[in-house]
Amino acid sequence: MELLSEMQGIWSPGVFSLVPGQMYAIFAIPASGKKAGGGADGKIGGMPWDIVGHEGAVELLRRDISAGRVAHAYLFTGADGIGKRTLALQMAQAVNCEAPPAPGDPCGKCRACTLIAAEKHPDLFLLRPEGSGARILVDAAREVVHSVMLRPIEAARRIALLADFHRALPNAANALLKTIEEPPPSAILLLTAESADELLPTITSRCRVIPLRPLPESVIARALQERWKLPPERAEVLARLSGGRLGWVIHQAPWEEAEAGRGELFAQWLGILRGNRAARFATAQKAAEDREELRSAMQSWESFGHDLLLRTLSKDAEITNVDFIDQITELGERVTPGQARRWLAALRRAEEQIDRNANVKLALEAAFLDAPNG
Amino acid sequence: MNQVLYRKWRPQTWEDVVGQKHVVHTLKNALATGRIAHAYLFSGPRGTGKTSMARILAKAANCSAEDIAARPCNQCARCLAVNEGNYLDLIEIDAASNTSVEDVRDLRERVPFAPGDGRYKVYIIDEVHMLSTAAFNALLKTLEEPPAHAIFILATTEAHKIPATVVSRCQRHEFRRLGVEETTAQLMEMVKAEGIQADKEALEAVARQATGSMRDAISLLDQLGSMGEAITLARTLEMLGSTGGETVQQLVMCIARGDSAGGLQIIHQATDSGADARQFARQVVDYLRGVMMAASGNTDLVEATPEIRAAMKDLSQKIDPSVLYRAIRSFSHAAADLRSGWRPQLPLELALIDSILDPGSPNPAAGAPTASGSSGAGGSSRPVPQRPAPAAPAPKPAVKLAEKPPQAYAVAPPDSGHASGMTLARIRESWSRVIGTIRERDSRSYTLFARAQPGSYEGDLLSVYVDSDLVRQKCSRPETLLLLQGVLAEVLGSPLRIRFAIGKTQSIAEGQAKYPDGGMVDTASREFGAQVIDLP
Ligand SMILES: Nc1ncnc2c1ncn2[C@@H]1O[C@H](COP(=O)(O)OP(=O)(O)O)[C@@H](O)[C@H]1O
Ligand SMILES: [Mg+2]
Ligand SMILES: [Zn+2]
Ligand SMILES: [Zn+2]
Repeated sequence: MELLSEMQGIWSPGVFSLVPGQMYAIFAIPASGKKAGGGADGKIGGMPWDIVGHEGAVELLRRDISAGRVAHAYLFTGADGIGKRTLALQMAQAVNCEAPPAPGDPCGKCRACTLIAAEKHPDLFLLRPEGSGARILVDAAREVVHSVMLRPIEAARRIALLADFHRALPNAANALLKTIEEPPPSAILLLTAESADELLPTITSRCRVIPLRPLPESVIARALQERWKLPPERAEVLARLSGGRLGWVIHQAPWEEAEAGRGELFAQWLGILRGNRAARFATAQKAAEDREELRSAMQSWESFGHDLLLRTLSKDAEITNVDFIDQITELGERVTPGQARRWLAALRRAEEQIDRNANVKLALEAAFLDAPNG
Repeated sequence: MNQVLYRKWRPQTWEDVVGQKHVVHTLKNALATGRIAHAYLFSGPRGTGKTSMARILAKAANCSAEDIAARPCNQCARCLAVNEGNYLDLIEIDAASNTSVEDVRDLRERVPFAPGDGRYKVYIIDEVHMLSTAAFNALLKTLEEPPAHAIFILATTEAHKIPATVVSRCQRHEFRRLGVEETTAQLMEMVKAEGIQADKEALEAVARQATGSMRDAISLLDQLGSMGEAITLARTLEMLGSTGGETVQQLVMCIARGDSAGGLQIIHQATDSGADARQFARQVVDYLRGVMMAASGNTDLVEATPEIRAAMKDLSQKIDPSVLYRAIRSFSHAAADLRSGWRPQLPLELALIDSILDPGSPNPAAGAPTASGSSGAGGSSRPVPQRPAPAAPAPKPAVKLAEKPPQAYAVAPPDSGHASGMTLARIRESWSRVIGTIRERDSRSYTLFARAQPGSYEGDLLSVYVDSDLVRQKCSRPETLLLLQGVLAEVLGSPLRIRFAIGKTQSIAEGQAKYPDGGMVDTASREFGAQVIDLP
C-alpha cells in the first residue's frame, strides 16, 4: 500500500489505470522526474524518451521525426504489458511537442506533451477495446475514419491511437483499410497489437511495423530498483516472472499483496496435486467464482506447471518461479515428464476453453483430474 | 512532406507497373481501339497493383494527350488533378467503410450526371468485397444499365465475396502475385534512386518474405532503410525475426538425438536474441519437411543449398520416422498457436518436448503412414517408395546415434486423438487450408490439386477425387503424393493414406462461394479473420 502511494507520485496522472484487460501504459515518468545516468534505460543522446528499454525502436522513431520522414501509419507489436502504448503516446508527444529539446525528442512539459500524456489532447483520438475480451466494432472504426479526416485543432498532426488492434473484428479492420493506406497528410495512425500475425495481412501491409521485444531481465530489475525503489531481491524475482514485460510487473502492484497472492496460488496448485477428487473439485468450484482473478491464477498455475515439467526433464533447468524453487525441485523428483506434460496441457486446454466461453467449473474440473499425484 | 516509400512509388504509368503484363496489355489495347468497358473487376492479392492500376486507367480514360498511346501523360491538367487526388470526374469510394445500401443509393443518384470536365466519369469502388448484400443488389442495378459516360472499376482482395451476378457484369482481371525476381528488381531500382545502400541477397530475402505483395516488400524495405545503415542480409534476417539456418539445424539435431535440455537451450538463446517464436517454428517445419522429402529420395525437390540438402539427407537416414512426423506436427501446431500469452516461446518449448517424448500410444496411427497412393482405378504409373514401418509402441531411441534413450512418456500430447476421430467432414473442413499450403510450397502441384476434392474416407484411406485420368496419374507420382501427404499430416495433425480416383470435383473458388452466410466457415472468416484461402 505504501509502495502504491509512492508510485502514484511519479506516475503521470491519467495514464495510470488498473482496469483489467487494458494496456498498462503506466510506466512513463514525467520528464521532471529524477533522471539516472544515460545508457541502457531508454535515454539516448542525453535526451530521454521516458520509457525503459526499447532503445532501437526509440532511435528509429527519433530518426523518422528529425529527418521529416514520419510514416503515416505505425504498428507497434509485442506482448501485453511490453510498452507499446507507452511508446505510441511518446511518439505522439515527440511529433507534436511545441519545444523539442532536440530534434525528435519530446520536452514532456509543454501543453501538447502534458495533454497527450494525460490522454486529453483535442487532436488525440484514442480507441481501445474496454475490458477483457472486448472487440473493436465497425462503428468505432467508422468513427476513426471520420476523426482522422478532421483538420488538427491545435497540434501539428492529428493522432489516432488504435490500441489492441488485434481485437478488431474483420469488418472493423476492413473499414480502416483505405484510411490506413492514405490518411490526409495532417494525420498519423498509431496501431498496437500483440502480434502482426493476428492482424489482417492487408492491414499490416500498410503500416511501418515496430516490433517490441521483451526487455532483458537485468534491465527490468534495475529499473524496478532505481525508479520504483524496490529492494533488489524483490526486483529480481519480479523481473524473472515478468517475461520481459515491465507493464506486467507494474500491474502487479501493490507487491506485498501480489506476493501473498502468489503464495496462495502456489498453495492451491500444490493442493490440487495432493488432494483427492473431492478436494480438486472443491478448488475448481472456488476458482470458478471470479473470472478476472482466474485469468491470472491460470497463468501462474501454468507457469508452475511449466517449471515442474522443466525440472522433470533436467535437474538444473532454469526455472521461472525461483521463489518456489525448492518445492518444485522436490516435486520434480516424484513426477514423470509425461505426467507433468499432461498436467500442463490440461491447464492450457482449460484456459483456452474458458477463453471461448466454456463452462468454467467443468473446464477446471476436467483439467484438475489430469493433475499428477504430488 | 515525405511519404512512405510505397506511396511515393505508386505506379503512375503503365510502364511503372511491375508484372501484371496481361492486364496492362488488355487495358492499353482497349484504350487504343476505343473499346473501354463500362465495368471492370480487379481482383488479386494485396499490394499487387489493383488500386494503382485503377487510377492509371481512370487517368488514361480522361487524359488530354493527343497521342492515345501516350495516355496517361501525367502532364495535362486532368492527369495532374488525378495524381493530386482532386479530379472531379474521378470518384474513389471506400466500400469497406461505406458498406450500406444507402451508400450505394447515394452513388446511384449521382451516376446519371455527365462528367463535368472529362470524357468519362470514373468510379473506383475499392475494397468492394465489404458491401452488404443489399448494397450489392443496388450496385447491380447500376451495372446493368450504365450510362455511356460512366466507367466502374471494382477492386478487391476477396473476389469470392462478390456475388456472381455482379461479377458477370464486369470485365474481370486477375492480378497475380509478383515473383521474387520481379520484386527484387523493383527494390533494387528503388534503393538506387533513394540512395539506400543494400545488398542484393538482403533484398531477395525481403522479396521472399513479401510472398508476392509489392506493398509488403516496399514496407519492409522502408522499415529496413529507416535506420540509415546499409541493408545487409544479417540485418534483414534479424528484422524479420528469422533465426539463422544453423540454429534451426541444431535444434532439429537435438530432436533427432532426443536431447530436450540441449533443445530448450537453443530455443532460449534464439528467442533471447530476438527470434520470433512463430517464425522459428515455421522454419523448423520447413527444415523437417526437407528431411521428410529426403527420406523418400526426393532430395532434389527441396529448395536449399547443396550443403543443407546433404545434411537433410544424412539426418533422414538417422531420424526415426515417427519422431519426424511427430515433430512436424508439433511444430506446425506451434506455428499456428496465436496465443502469445505469458511466455511467447512456450509453444516452441512444448513442441520440442512433444517431439522427443514418445507418447507410447498403442495406436500406431500416430506413427508414420505408408504411402499407397497407387491403388486408384487403372493401376499406378510408378512404384511408390515404401516408408519405414510405423513406430512400435515400445519406446525406442529416436535416432540410431542416440546417446541416451528418451524418457518414457505415457501420455498423449495435447489436442491428440485426431487419428481415431478423423472424419471426412474434418478433412473437408481443412481442405482449403491444405490446398492453400500446397500453393505456397509448390505452385505446380497446386494447379493439379486446385480442383481436387476429398471424396471418401474409409479405414484410414482417403480417396481424393480428381477430374481426369491424366490428372490422377500426375497426382499419383510419389513426390506429389508425398507433398500432399505431408501437408495433410501437418494440417490435420495425423498422417493419412491417400489414393486418387476420378470423381466429382470442385474448384476452391466455387466451393467458397457456397459457404453460406453465417455458416461455420463464414463465421470463422468474419468473426475471427480466418482466411479460407488467399485467392489470387
Ligand atoms: N504491380 C506493381 N508494380 C509496382 N508497384 C506496385 C505494384 N503493386 C503494388 N505496388 C506498390 O504497392 C503499393 C500499393 O499498391 P496498390 O495498387 O494499392 O495495391 P492493391 O490495391 O493491389 O492492394 C503501390 O503504391 C506500389 O508502391
Ligand atoms: Mg488497394
Ligand atoms: Zn513538449
Ligand atoms: Zn494526361
